[in-house]
Amino acid sequence: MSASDPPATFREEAGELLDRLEAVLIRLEATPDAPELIDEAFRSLHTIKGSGSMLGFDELASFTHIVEAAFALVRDGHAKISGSLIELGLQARDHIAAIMASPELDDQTRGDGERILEQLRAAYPALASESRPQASSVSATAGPASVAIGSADAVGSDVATTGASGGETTFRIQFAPKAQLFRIGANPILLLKELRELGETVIIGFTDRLPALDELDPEACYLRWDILLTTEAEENAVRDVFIFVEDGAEIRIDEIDGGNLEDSDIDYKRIGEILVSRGLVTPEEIQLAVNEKRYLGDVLVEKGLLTSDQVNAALQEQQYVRGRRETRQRAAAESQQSIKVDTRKLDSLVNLVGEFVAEHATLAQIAAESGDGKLTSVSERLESLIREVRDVAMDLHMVPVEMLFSTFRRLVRDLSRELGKEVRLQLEGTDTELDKNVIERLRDPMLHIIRNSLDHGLEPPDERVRAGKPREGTLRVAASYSGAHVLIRVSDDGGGINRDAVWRKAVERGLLTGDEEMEPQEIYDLICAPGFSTTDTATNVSGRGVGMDVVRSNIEGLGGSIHIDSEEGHGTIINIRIPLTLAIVEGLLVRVSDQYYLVNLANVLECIDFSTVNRHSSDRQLVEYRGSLVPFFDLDSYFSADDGSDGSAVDKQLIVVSSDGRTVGLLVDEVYDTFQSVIKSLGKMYENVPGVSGAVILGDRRLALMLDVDRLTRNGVRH
Amino acid sequence: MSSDSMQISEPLTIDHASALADSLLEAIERNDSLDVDLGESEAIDLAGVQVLLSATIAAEQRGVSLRYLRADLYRNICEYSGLQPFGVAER
Repeated sequence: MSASDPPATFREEAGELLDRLEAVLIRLEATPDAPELIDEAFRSLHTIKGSGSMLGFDELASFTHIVEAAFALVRDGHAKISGSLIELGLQARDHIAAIMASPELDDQTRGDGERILEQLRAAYPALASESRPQASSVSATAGPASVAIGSADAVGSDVATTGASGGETTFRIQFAPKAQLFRIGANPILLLKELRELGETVIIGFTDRLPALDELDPEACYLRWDILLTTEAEENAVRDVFIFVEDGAEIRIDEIDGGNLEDSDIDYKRIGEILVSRGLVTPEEIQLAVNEKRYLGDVLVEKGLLTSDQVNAALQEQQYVRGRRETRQRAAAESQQSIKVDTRKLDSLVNLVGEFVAEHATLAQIAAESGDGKLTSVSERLESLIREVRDVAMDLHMVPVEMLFSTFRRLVRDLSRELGKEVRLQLEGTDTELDKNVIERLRDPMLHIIRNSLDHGLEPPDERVRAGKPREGTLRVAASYSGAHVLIRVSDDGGGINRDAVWRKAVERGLLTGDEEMEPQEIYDLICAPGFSTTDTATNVSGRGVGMDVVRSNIEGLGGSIHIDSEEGHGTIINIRIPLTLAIVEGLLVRVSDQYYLVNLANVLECIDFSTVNRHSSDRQLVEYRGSLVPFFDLDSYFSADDGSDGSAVDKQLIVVSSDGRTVGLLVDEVYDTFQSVIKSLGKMYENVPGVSGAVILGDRRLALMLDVDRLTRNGVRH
Repeated sequence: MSSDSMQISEPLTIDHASALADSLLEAIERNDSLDVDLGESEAIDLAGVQVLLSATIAAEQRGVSLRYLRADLYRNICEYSGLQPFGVAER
């Protein structure tokens, strides 16, 4: 996102607005009587339309205009919210997203858009007259002098309520038509409509020139208006609205707030000052009235200098401008607390910090070798600063999982309808924060799990009732912190997993011989084995050729783990454990033979001198650890594919690691210090090497491999 | 003096403003209470609004109670153009 690239900015902002619109519509479905939601839906659409139109996305603007008008009808009480409006609103949201993705529309997409508009018009006949928004092309003289204001026609469909933004100016327009205005065919209603289209308006009509019926010339115009208009448009554009009636009216346009008159004070002018600036009274008259020490407006009206309508109009102006200023100050205060930053800039910051960390490791080593006390102390101070910078950089990169979870609402809504199921989605811990990159890579696996749960887990309503459950199934997605990890738990109260079916299928697929003895947990793990699928007929919901094996490898690729638990008839729980961040890992540096390895500190339980460890009397591959038996293996033989002889193991170190509830011991030759570092990918060639998941550069420029503890513990247990 | 009600079914627009003004003035002068049903009229413009508002001034000057019934069009256009819809009967 750069300032020189408005369409990119627009796409990004419109994308956020569309996401918000989707969330609002889904909430509106549950609570249709929430005016603030209708208002929010309207505002999102209005902003998309406005920016789109400004940047020349005409197709997008004219489509959005009509959808927005439908929500305006509801907001203004001319129509009721309905299921079909929400459905069409969601479809419209998708259509707008499609237009943004490729503004050159194909016939199919264009047809989709037309179908949505047709259905909207059928549901809300008042929309029939809505076409594309017009800037200033509505001629005030061309139209008929009468406007049939039936139910909701034209009224209020374009009252803009955009928030305070930087480039807005408030104008006071004093519009006093001459008597012949109607006779020349001009219609002030159309002028007011055009002004409303330019921004937020307060329209005050005056009837003070209007005589009683016996003195009335029915074709003469006696009405006049004061209009307060807050708009991003220039004064010339406002003046253009009146271009055809310039000879038939007195028009005075004053800029009263914003733009060049930007004022940090909330307080606007006093009533007396407003009246003088409107040219209604002189400063001397105000001074005389003030001297009476009564309410100024009353005095002026009593003296016959003003009508009470004129005083009220000044009061309205005072309140309006003050309101605008308050909104603007609030917005400014909010924007001071947060700014938008391109995520790529954040990525490069995090990467640079990572390089910084690695480079400092070199410095630390040089300092240690030099024995120079001053250098060592600088290096130590630097280390603590780098740690702080790292934490801040990491923090910038964290976003709430809400960003990911909120997309599930739409998925669950649409999918449950498609499948004829009734599902309540419960989201918990949505403010839990994760690295944005982790969240992005978590999206596909999570979607797959949720699809699975809806498709295979939760039963159809009738089946649930027969099983004595509520018709509506519950899908719960909860996030919580657990040390340097985030736990995401997806649980449903569906039919659970049939262990026997899983077992049989695994045997059929040749994954098991049928003679194994397995714990329930291990059977569930089979679901994540490559090539395993419990249904033979792939549905178009979850059978997209991607199995749970891909889900598991995606999550493991993130340094996380997945764990399935289920109770037949009662539901399934899927626990996903994900590191808070991918970029930097704090690890324990060890040596095996002549190779260095890094073990994620989050997995390390203890380091023990192997000579002090009690080995199991009969099974030499088990050691006693805190009252239980733990399998162990020698990393040297693991990586060099030795026969696993452990004759020289006495002077080795045992590192007890644990992942996902499994504990194993790893034998290494030497244990060094902890070491924080950026993990580099091994690249395509080596990504499937078992036991390692990445590489780090050490202070002396040598390479250390990151141990894949999750994989190793799984192997270890099977050993 | 009497009370009367009248119904207006012509459009409340500039083309009919003169006739509308005449019939309203006549009815105001004949009665001390007048209900005007606008529900059958299908269009309105600001010239029509002026006549209706002006009639309320004439009625007030003569102490006549004037009420507009079924006056949604009148009320809507007044709201849209920032005018007070004088004379509209409470719903």
